[in-house]
Amino acid sequence: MKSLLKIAFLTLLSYTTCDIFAQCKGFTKRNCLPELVPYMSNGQMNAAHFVPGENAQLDLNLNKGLSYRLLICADEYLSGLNYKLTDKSSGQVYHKDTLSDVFSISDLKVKQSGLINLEIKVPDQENPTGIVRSGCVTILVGFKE
Amino acid sequence: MIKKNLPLFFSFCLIISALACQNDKREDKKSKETAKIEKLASEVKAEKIKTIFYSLPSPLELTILFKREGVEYHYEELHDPKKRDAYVTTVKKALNLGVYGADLSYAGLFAKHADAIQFFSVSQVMAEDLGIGQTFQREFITRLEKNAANKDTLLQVISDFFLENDSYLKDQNQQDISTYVLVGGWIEGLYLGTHMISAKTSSTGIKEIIIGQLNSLDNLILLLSDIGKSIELNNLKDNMILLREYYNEVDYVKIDESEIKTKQESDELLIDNQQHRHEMNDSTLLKITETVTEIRNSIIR
Repeated sequence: MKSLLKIAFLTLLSYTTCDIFAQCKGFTKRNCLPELVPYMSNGQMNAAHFVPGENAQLDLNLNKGLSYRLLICADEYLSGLNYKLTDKSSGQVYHKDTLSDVFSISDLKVKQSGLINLEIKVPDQENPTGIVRSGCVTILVGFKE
Repeated sequence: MIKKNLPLFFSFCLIISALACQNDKREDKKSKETAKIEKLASEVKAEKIKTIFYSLPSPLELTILFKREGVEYHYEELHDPKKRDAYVTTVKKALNLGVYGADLSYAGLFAKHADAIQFFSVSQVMAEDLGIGQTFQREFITRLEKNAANKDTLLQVISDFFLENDSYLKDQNQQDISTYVLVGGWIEGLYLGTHMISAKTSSTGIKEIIIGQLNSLDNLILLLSDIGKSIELNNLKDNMILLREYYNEVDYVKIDESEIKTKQESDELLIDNQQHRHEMNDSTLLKITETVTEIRNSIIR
Protein backbone atom coordinates (compact mmCIF):
# COMPACT_ATOMS: atom_id res chain seq x y z
CA MET A 1 0.00 0.00 0.00
CA LYS A 2 2.80 2.36 1.01
CA SER A 3 4.72 1.71 -2.19
CA LEU A 4 1.54 2.22 -4.21
CA LEU A 5 1.07 5.60 -2.58
CA LYS A 6 4.72 6.41 -3.25
CA ILE A 7 4.34 5.56 -6.95
CA ALA A 8 1.13 7.60 -7.15
CA PHE A 9 2.88 10.56 -5.51
CA LEU A 10 5.90 10.34 -7.82
CA THR A 11 3.67 10.06 -10.89
CA LEU A 12 1.71 13.11 -9.78
CA LEU A 13 4.95 14.98 -9.14
CA SER A 14 6.33 14.18 -12.58
CA TYR A 15 3.08 15.27 -14.22
CA THR A 16 3.18 18.51 -12.24
CA THR A 17 6.79 19.17 -13.33
CA CYS A 18 5.92 18.49 -16.97
CA ASP A 19 2.88 20.72 -16.65
CA ILE A 20 4.96 23.57 -15.22
CA PHE A 21 7.39 23.35 -18.18
CA ALA A 22 4.52 23.14 -20.63
CA GLN A 23 3.06 26.30 -19.10
CA CYS A 24 6.44 27.99 -19.53
CA LYS A 25 6.58 26.92 -23.16
CA GLY A 26 3.07 28.27 -23.76
CA PHE A 27 3.97 31.55 -22.05
CA THR A 28 7.10 31.88 -24.22
CA LYS A 29 5.20 31.15 -27.42
CA ARG A 30 2.54 33.72 -26.63
CA ASN A 31 4.63 36.53 -25.20
CA CYS A 32 8.19 36.11 -26.35
CA LEU A 33 8.62 34.45 -29.72
CA PRO A 34 6.72 37.01 -31.82
CA GLU A 35 9.03 39.73 -30.47
CA LEU A 36 12.14 37.98 -31.77
CA VAL A 37 11.24 38.69 -35.41
CA PRO A 38 13.11 39.70 -37.63
CA TYR A 39 16.01 38.10 -35.77
CA MET A 40 16.67 34.36 -36.08
CA SER A 41 16.68 32.38 -32.88
CA ASN A 42 19.94 30.74 -31.76
CA GLY A 43 17.85 27.61 -31.29
CA GLN A 44 17.96 27.47 -27.52
CA MET A 45 15.05 27.78 -25.18
CA ASN A 46 16.22 29.13 -21.83
CA ALA A 47 13.18 29.09 -19.60
CA ALA A 48 12.60 28.33 -15.95
CA HIS A 49 10.16 28.95 -13.14
CA PHE A 50 11.27 31.62 -10.71
CA VAL A 51 10.14 32.78 -7.30
CA PRO A 52 10.86 36.24 -5.87
CA GLY A 53 14.44 36.46 -4.68
CA GLU A 54 15.78 34.17 -7.33
CA ASN A 55 18.59 35.06 -9.73
CA ALA A 56 19.88 33.74 -13.02
CA GLN A 57 22.69 34.41 -15.38
CA LEU A 58 23.75 33.72 -18.90
CA ASP A 59 27.03 34.24 -20.72
CA LEU A 60 26.64 35.20 -24.31
CA ASN A 61 29.23 35.22 -27.02
CA LEU A 62 28.80 38.12 -29.38
CA ASN A 63 30.35 37.89 -32.80
CA LYS A 64 31.71 40.82 -34.71
CA GLY A 65 29.54 42.11 -37.53
CA LEU A 66 26.32 40.51 -36.31
CA SER A 67 23.42 42.12 -34.52
CA TYR A 68 21.75 40.41 -31.60
CA ARG A 69 18.42 40.69 -29.90
CA LEU A 70 18.23 39.72 -26.26
CA LEU A 71 14.70 39.09 -25.17
CA ILE A 72 13.75 38.71 -21.53
CA CYS A 73 10.20 37.72 -20.75
CA ALA A 74 8.70 37.26 -17.32
CA ASP A 75 5.32 36.46 -15.86
CA GLU A 76 3.44 39.46 -14.50
CA TYR A 77 3.74 38.04 -10.94
CA LEU A 78 7.47 38.70 -11.10
CA SER A 79 7.13 42.46 -11.31
CA GLY A 80 10.27 44.49 -10.89
CA LEU A 81 12.58 41.92 -12.44
CA ASN A 82 15.80 43.72 -13.15
CA TYR A 83 18.63 42.83 -15.45
CA LYS A 84 22.15 43.91 -16.18
CA LEU A 85 24.41 43.44 -19.19
CA THR A 86 28.09 43.41 -18.32
CA ASP A 87 31.28 42.94 -20.27
CA LYS A 88 32.68 39.65 -19.01
CA SER A 89 36.35 40.59 -19.16
CA SER A 90 36.28 44.16 -17.86
CA GLY A 91 33.15 44.12 -15.73
CA GLN A 92 31.91 47.28 -17.40
CA VAL A 93 28.14 47.59 -17.29
CA TYR A 94 26.70 48.12 -20.75
CA HIS A 95 23.08 48.40 -19.79
CA LYS A 96 20.76 47.84 -16.87
CA ASP A 97 17.04 48.15 -16.57
CA THR A 98 13.89 46.95 -14.87
CA LEU A 99 11.22 45.04 -16.70
CA SER A 100 8.22 47.30 -17.02
CA ASP A 101 6.23 45.01 -19.29
CA VAL A 102 6.04 41.26 -19.78
CA PHE A 103 9.09 41.46 -22.01
CA SER A 104 12.13 43.60 -22.58
CA ILE A 105 14.21 43.88 -25.70
CA SER A 106 17.88 44.76 -25.95
CA ASP A 107 19.27 45.09 -29.45
CA LEU A 108 23.02 44.90 -29.71
CA LYS A 109 25.21 45.75 -32.65
CA VAL A 110 28.62 44.18 -32.27
CA LYS A 111 31.74 45.76 -33.73
CA GLN A 112 34.19 43.59 -31.82
CA SER A 113 33.60 40.00 -30.69
CA GLY A 114 33.35 39.52 -26.97
CA LEU A 115 31.64 37.81 -24.11
CA ILE A 116 28.87 39.48 -22.16
CA ASN A 117 27.10 38.41 -19.04
CA LEU A 118 23.39 38.83 -18.53
CA GLU A 119 22.29 38.79 -14.93
CA ILE A 120 18.65 38.85 -13.97
CA LYS A 121 17.21 39.26 -10.51
CA VAL A 122 13.67 38.84 -9.35
CA PRO A 123 13.44 41.07 -6.26
CA ASP A 124 12.11 39.74 -2.98
CA GLN A 125 8.51 40.73 -2.39
CA GLU A 126 6.58 41.40 0.79
CA ASN A 127 4.29 38.51 1.20
CA PRO A 128 1.60 38.93 3.86
CA THR A 129 -0.41 35.93 2.69
CA GLY A 130 2.54 33.56 2.85
CA ILE A 131 1.70 32.17 -0.57
CA VAL A 132 4.70 32.28 -2.86
CA ARG A 133 3.74 32.73 -6.50
CA SER A 134 6.19 31.53 -9.06
CA GLY A 135 6.33 32.65 -12.66
CA CYS A 136 8.06 31.83 -15.87
CA VAL A 137 11.19 33.65 -17.01
CA THR A 138 12.48 33.12 -20.53
CA ILE A 139 15.60 34.41 -22.21
CA LEU A 140 15.75 34.18 -25.97
CA VAL A 141 18.67 35.18 -28.15
CA GLY A 142 18.25 36.13 -31.78
CA PHE A 143 20.81 37.21 -34.34
CA LYS A 144 20.93 38.67 -37.83
CA GLU A 145 23.52 39.84 -40.31
CA MET B 1 14.85 43.94 61.54
CA ILE B 2 17.47 44.38 58.87
CA LYS B 3 19.76 41.85 60.46
CA LYS B 4 16.82 39.45 60.71
CA ASN B 5 15.97 39.82 57.05
CA LEU B 6 19.55 39.86 55.71
CA PRO B 7 19.63 36.16 54.72
CA LEU B 8 16.29 36.63 52.97
CA PHE B 9 17.61 39.70 51.15
CA PHE B 10 20.74 37.82 49.97
CA SER B 11 18.60 34.90 48.85
CA PHE B 12 16.42 37.31 46.88
CA CYS B 13 19.50 38.89 45.26
CA LEU B 14 20.87 35.46 44.43
CA ILE B 15 17.60 34.41 42.79
CA ILE B 16 17.45 37.66 40.81
CA SER B 17 21.04 37.32 39.60
CA ALA B 18 20.50 33.64 38.79
CA LEU B 19 17.41 34.54 36.81
CA ALA B 20 19.28 37.34 35.10
CA CYS B 21 22.06 34.91 34.32
CA GLN B 22 19.53 32.44 32.96
CA ASN B 23 18.04 35.23 30.89
CA ASP B 24 21.55 35.98 29.61
CA LYS B 25 21.96 32.32 28.75
CA ARG B 26 18.55 32.32 27.09
CA GLU B 27 19.50 35.48 25.19
CA ASP B 28 22.80 33.89 24.29
CA LYS B 29 21.01 30.71 23.18
CA LYS B 30 18.45 32.83 21.34
CA SER B 31 21.13 34.83 19.54
CA LYS B 32 22.93 31.60 18.66
CA GLU B 33 19.66 30.19 17.31
CA THR B 34 19.05 33.43 15.40
CA ALA B 35 22.55 33.27 13.97
CA LYS B 36 21.93 29.66 13.01
CA ILE B 37 18.64 30.56 11.29
CA GLU B 38 20.25 33.55 9.60
CA LYS B 39 23.08 31.33 8.38
CA LEU B 40 20.57 28.81 7.12
CA ALA B 41 18.56 31.56 5.46
CA SER B 42 21.64 32.92 3.75
CA GLU B 43 22.49 29.40 2.63
CA VAL B 44 18.97 28.99 1.28
CA LYS B 45 19.31 32.39 -0.36
CA ALA B 46 22.65 31.37 -1.85
CA GLU B 47 20.96 28.18 -3.00
CA LYS B 48 18.34 30.37 -4.67
CA ILE B 49 21.02 31.99 -6.84
CA LYS B 50 21.14 28.94 -8.91
CA THR B 51 19.86 29.26 -12.42
CA ILE B 52 22.65 29.31 -14.94
CA PHE B 53 21.58 29.33 -18.53
CA TYR B 54 23.91 28.26 -21.27
CA SER B 55 24.04 29.96 -24.60
CA LEU B 56 25.72 28.58 -27.67
CA PRO B 57 25.83 29.84 -31.22
CA SER B 58 23.47 27.91 -33.45
CA PRO B 59 25.03 26.11 -36.43
CA LEU B 60 23.32 28.76 -38.55
CA GLU B 61 25.15 31.56 -36.76
CA LEU B 62 28.49 29.76 -37.13
CA THR B 63 27.78 29.21 -40.82
CA ILE B 64 27.07 32.92 -41.33
CA LEU B 65 30.38 33.79 -39.68
CA PHE B 66 32.40 31.33 -41.75
CA LYS B 67 30.65 32.27 -44.98
CA ARG B 68 31.59 35.90 -44.45
CA GLU B 69 35.23 34.86 -44.28
CA GLY B 70 34.97 33.28 -47.71
CA VAL B 71 34.32 29.58 -47.11
CA GLU B 72 32.54 27.84 -49.96
CA TYR B 73 29.90 25.16 -50.29
CA HIS B 74 31.07 21.62 -50.96
CA TYR B 75 28.33 19.01 -50.73
CA GLU B 76 30.86 16.17 -50.43
CA GLU B 77 32.08 17.54 -47.07
CA LEU B 78 28.59 17.21 -45.56
CA HIS B 79 27.55 14.09 -43.71
CA ASP B 80 26.06 11.31 -45.83
CA PRO B 81 22.24 11.45 -45.41
CA LYS B 82 22.04 7.70 -46.09
CA LYS B 83 23.87 6.99 -42.87
CA ARG B 84 20.91 8.09 -40.76
CA ASP B 85 19.75 4.49 -40.21
CA ALA B 86 23.16 3.42 -38.95
CA TYR B 87 22.71 4.97 -35.52
CA VAL B 88 21.16 2.83 -32.86
CA THR B 89 21.79 4.43 -29.48
CA THR B 90 20.04 7.58 -28.29
CA VAL B 91 23.40 9.30 -27.82
CA LYS B 92 24.46 8.61 -31.42
CA LYS B 93 21.08 9.62 -32.80
CA ALA B 94 21.10 12.89 -30.88
CA LEU B 95 24.70 13.75 -31.79
CA ASN B 96 23.99 13.06 -35.44
CA LEU B 97 20.78 15.06 -35.35
CA GLY B 98 23.05 17.95 -34.40
CA VAL B 99 25.41 17.12 -37.27
CA TYR B 100 22.62 16.94 -39.86
CA GLY B 101 21.16 20.15 -38.42
CA ALA B 102 24.45 21.95 -39.08
CA ASP B 103 24.56 20.52 -42.62
CA LEU B 104 21.01 21.76 -43.10
CA SER B 105 22.15 25.24 -42.02
CA TYR B 106 25.02 25.19 -44.53
CA ALA B 107 22.79 24.11 -47.38
CA GLY B 108 20.16 26.70 -46.40
CA LEU B 109 22.60 29.58 -46.12
CA PHE B 110 24.17 28.80 -49.48
CA ALA B 111 20.63 28.64 -50.92
CA LYS B 112 20.99 25.00 -51.98
CA HIS B 113 17.29 24.30 -51.61
CA ALA B 114 17.27 20.69 -52.81
CA ASP B 115 20.09 19.80 -50.42
CA ALA B 116 18.42 21.73 -47.61
CA ILE B 117 15.17 19.82 -48.05
CA GLN B 118 17.13 16.55 -48.11
CA PHE B 119 18.90 17.39 -44.83
CA PHE B 120 15.69 18.68 -43.33
CA SER B 121 13.98 15.35 -44.08
CA VAL B 122 16.86 13.43 -42.49
CA SER B 123 16.83 15.70 -39.43
CA GLN B 124 13.08 15.32 -39.13
CA VAL B 125 13.26 11.50 -39.25
CA MET B 126 16.03 11.50 -36.63
CA ALA B 127 14.07 13.89 -34.42
CA GLU B 128 11.05 11.59 -34.65
CA ASP B 129 13.31 8.64 -33.80
CA LEU B 130 14.24 10.49 -30.64
CA GLY B 131 10.59 10.95 -29.79
CA ILE B 132 10.49 14.64 -30.58
CA GLY B 133 6.85 15.52 -31.32
CA GLN B 134 5.63 14.79 -34.79
CA THR B 135 2.79 17.28 -35.05
CA PHE B 136 4.97 20.34 -35.26
CA GLN B 137 7.44 18.59 -37.60
CA ARG B 138 4.74 18.37 -40.29
CA GLU B 139 4.13 22.09 -39.93
CA PHE B 140 7.79 22.77 -40.81
CA ILE B 141 7.65 20.65 -43.94
CA THR B 142 4.57 22.52 -45.13
CA ARG B 143 6.34 25.85 -44.50
CA LEU B 144 9.43 24.61 -46.37
CA GLU B 145 7.44 23.40 -49.35
CA LYS B 146 5.48 26.65 -49.56
CA ASN B 147 8.62 28.82 -49.40
CA ALA B 148 11.18 26.66 -51.15
CA ALA B 149 12.54 29.52 -53.25
CA ASN B 150 12.78 32.08 -50.49
CA LYS B 151 16.14 31.95 -48.71
CA ASP B 152 15.13 34.17 -45.77
CA THR B 153 12.08 32.09 -45.04
CA LEU B 154 14.13 28.92 -45.38
CA LEU B 155 16.58 30.20 -42.76
CA GLN B 156 13.73 31.27 -40.49
CA VAL B 157 12.19 27.80 -40.77
CA ILE B 158 15.55 26.18 -39.96
CA SER B 159 16.07 28.34 -36.86
CA ASP B 160 12.48 27.72 -35.71
CA PHE B 161 13.07 23.98 -36.19
CA PHE B 162 16.13 24.07 -33.86
CA LEU B 163 14.23 26.11 -31.27
CA GLU B 164 11.19 23.86 -31.35
CA ASN B 165 13.33 20.74 -30.94
CA ASP B 166 15.24 22.22 -28.02
CA SER B 167 12.07 23.46 -26.39
CA TYR B 168 10.41 20.07 -26.76
CA LEU B 169 13.38 18.23 -25.25
CA LYS B 170 13.58 20.58 -22.29
CA ASP B 171 9.82 20.29 -21.80
CA GLN B 172 10.20 16.56 -21.55
CA ASN B 173 13.08 16.91 -19.11
CA GLN B 174 15.50 15.52 -21.68
CA GLN B 175 18.28 18.01 -21.20
CA ASP B 176 20.87 15.29 -21.93
CA ILE B 177 19.56 14.76 -25.45
CA SER B 178 19.43 18.51 -26.00
CA THR B 179 23.12 18.68 -24.98
CA TYR B 180 24.12 15.94 -27.45
CA VAL B 181 22.30 17.75 -30.26
CA LEU B 182 24.12 20.97 -29.36
CA VAL B 183 27.51 19.21 -29.24
CA GLY B 184 26.92 17.52 -32.62
CA GLY B 185 25.83 20.77 -34.23
CA TRP B 186 28.69 22.78 -32.81
CA ILE B 187 31.36 20.26 -33.83
CA GLU B 188 29.93 19.93 -37.35
CA GLY B 189 29.74 23.74 -37.64
CA LEU B 190 33.43 24.06 -36.76
CA TYR B 191 34.35 21.10 -38.97
CA LEU B 192 32.66 22.60 -42.01
CA GLY B 193 34.11 26.04 -41.34
CA THR B 194 37.63 24.67 -41.26
CA HIS B 195 37.20 22.28 -44.21
CA MET B 196 35.48 24.45 -46.79
CA ILE B 197 38.32 26.89 -47.05
CA SER B 198 39.03 28.34 -50.47
CA ALA B 199 41.63 30.70 -51.92
CA LYS B 200 39.34 33.57 -50.95
CA THR B 201 39.14 32.52 -47.30
CA SER B 202 40.73 34.79 -44.74
CA SER B 203 42.78 32.68 -42.34
CA THR B 204 42.81 35.54 -39.81
CA GLY B 205 39.02 35.63 -39.93
CA ILE B 206 38.76 31.84 -39.49
CA LYS B 207 41.14 32.02 -36.52
CA GLU B 208 39.06 34.79 -34.96
CA ILE B 209 35.88 32.72 -35.23
CA ILE B 210 37.57 29.68 -33.72
CA ILE B 211 39.05 31.73 -30.87
CA GLY B 212 35.59 33.18 -30.22
CA GLN B 213 34.27 29.67 -29.59
CA LEU B 214 36.15 29.25 -26.31
CA ASN B 215 33.18 30.09 -24.12
CA SER B 216 30.92 27.77 -26.10
CA LEU B 217 33.44 24.97 -25.67
CA ASP B 218 33.58 25.61 -21.91
CA ASN B 219 29.78 25.55 -21.75
CA LEU B 220 29.59 22.30 -23.69
CA ILE B 221 32.16 20.64 -21.43
CA LEU B 222 30.15 21.80 -18.40
CA LEU B 223 26.92 20.47 -19.87
CA LEU B 224 28.58 17.15 -20.75
CA SER B 225 30.02 16.80 -17.26
CA ASP B 226 26.47 16.90 -15.87
CA ILE B 227 25.60 13.78 -17.81
CA GLY B 228 26.28 10.25 -16.54
CA LYS B 229 29.20 8.13 -17.60
CA SER B 230 29.61 5.67 -20.47
CA ILE B 231 32.59 4.69 -22.61
CA GLU B 232 31.02 6.45 -25.59
CA LEU B 233 30.51 9.63 -23.62
CA ASN B 234 33.87 9.52 -21.84
CA ASN B 235 35.71 9.48 -25.17
CA LEU B 236 33.72 12.48 -26.32
CA LYS B 237 34.40 14.37 -23.09
CA ASP B 238 38.12 13.52 -23.22
CA ASN B 239 38.37 14.81 -26.77
CA MET B 240 36.51 17.99 -25.88
CA ILE B 241 38.89 18.53 -22.96
CA LEU B 242 41.86 17.95 -25.27
CA LEU B 243 40.40 20.56 -27.62
CA ARG B 244 40.11 22.94 -24.67
CA GLU B 245 43.79 22.42 -23.86
CA TYR B 246 44.78 23.67 -27.31
CA TYR B 247 42.86 26.85 -26.60
CA ASN B 248 45.38 27.51 -23.81
CA GLU B 249 47.93 28.14 -26.54
CA VAL B 250 45.97 31.17 -27.74
CA ASP B 251 47.56 34.44 -26.63
CA TYR B 252 45.23 36.99 -25.10
CA VAL B 253 46.97 40.32 -25.40
CA LYS B 254 45.46 43.06 -23.27
CA ILE B 255 45.33 46.48 -24.84
CA ASP B 256 45.70 48.93 -21.99
CA GLU B 257 45.11 52.22 -23.70
CA SER B 258 41.79 51.52 -25.29
CA GLU B 259 38.50 51.12 -23.59
CA ILE B 260 35.23 49.45 -24.28
CA LYS B 261 33.12 51.79 -26.30
CA THR B 262 29.45 51.49 -25.70
CA LYS B 263 27.03 53.91 -27.13
CA GLN B 264 23.42 53.99 -28.08
CA GLU B 265 23.04 54.06 -31.85
CA SER B 266 19.38 54.72 -32.56
CA ASP B 267 17.65 51.81 -30.84
CA GLU B 268 20.68 49.56 -30.88
CA LEU B 269 23.40 49.35 -28.29
CA LEU B 270 26.76 49.43 -30.03
CA ILE B 271 29.35 47.13 -28.51
CA ASP B 272 32.91 47.85 -29.52
CA ASN B 273 35.17 45.85 -27.25
CA GLN B 274 38.80 46.61 -27.83
CA GLN B 275 40.23 45.32 -24.55
CA HIS B 276 41.88 42.18 -25.87
CA ARG B 277 43.55 41.06 -29.02
CA HIS B 278 43.78 37.34 -29.62
CA GLU B 279 46.61 35.65 -31.42
CA MET B 280 46.69 32.06 -32.61
CA ASN B 281 49.59 30.57 -34.52
CA ASP B 282 49.16 28.18 -37.45
CA SER B 283 50.32 25.17 -35.46
CA THR B 284 47.55 25.69 -32.86
CA LEU B 285 45.01 26.16 -35.65
CA LEU B 286 46.13 22.86 -37.15
CA LYS B 287 45.85 21.04 -33.80
CA ILE B 288 42.35 22.42 -33.24
CA THR B 289 41.28 21.55 -36.79
CA GLU B 290 42.61 17.99 -36.44
CA THR B 291 40.95 17.44 -33.06
CA VAL B 292 37.61 18.78 -34.34
CA THR B 293 37.92 16.38 -37.31
CA GLU B 294 38.66 13.50 -34.96
CA ILE B 295 35.64 14.29 -32.77
CA ARG B 296 33.41 14.71 -35.82
CA ASN B 297 34.56 11.38 -37.26
CA SER B 298 33.92 9.61 -33.97
CA ILE B 299 30.39 11.07 -33.92
CA ILE B 300 29.43 10.08 -37.46
CA ARG B 301 31.18 6.67 -37.35
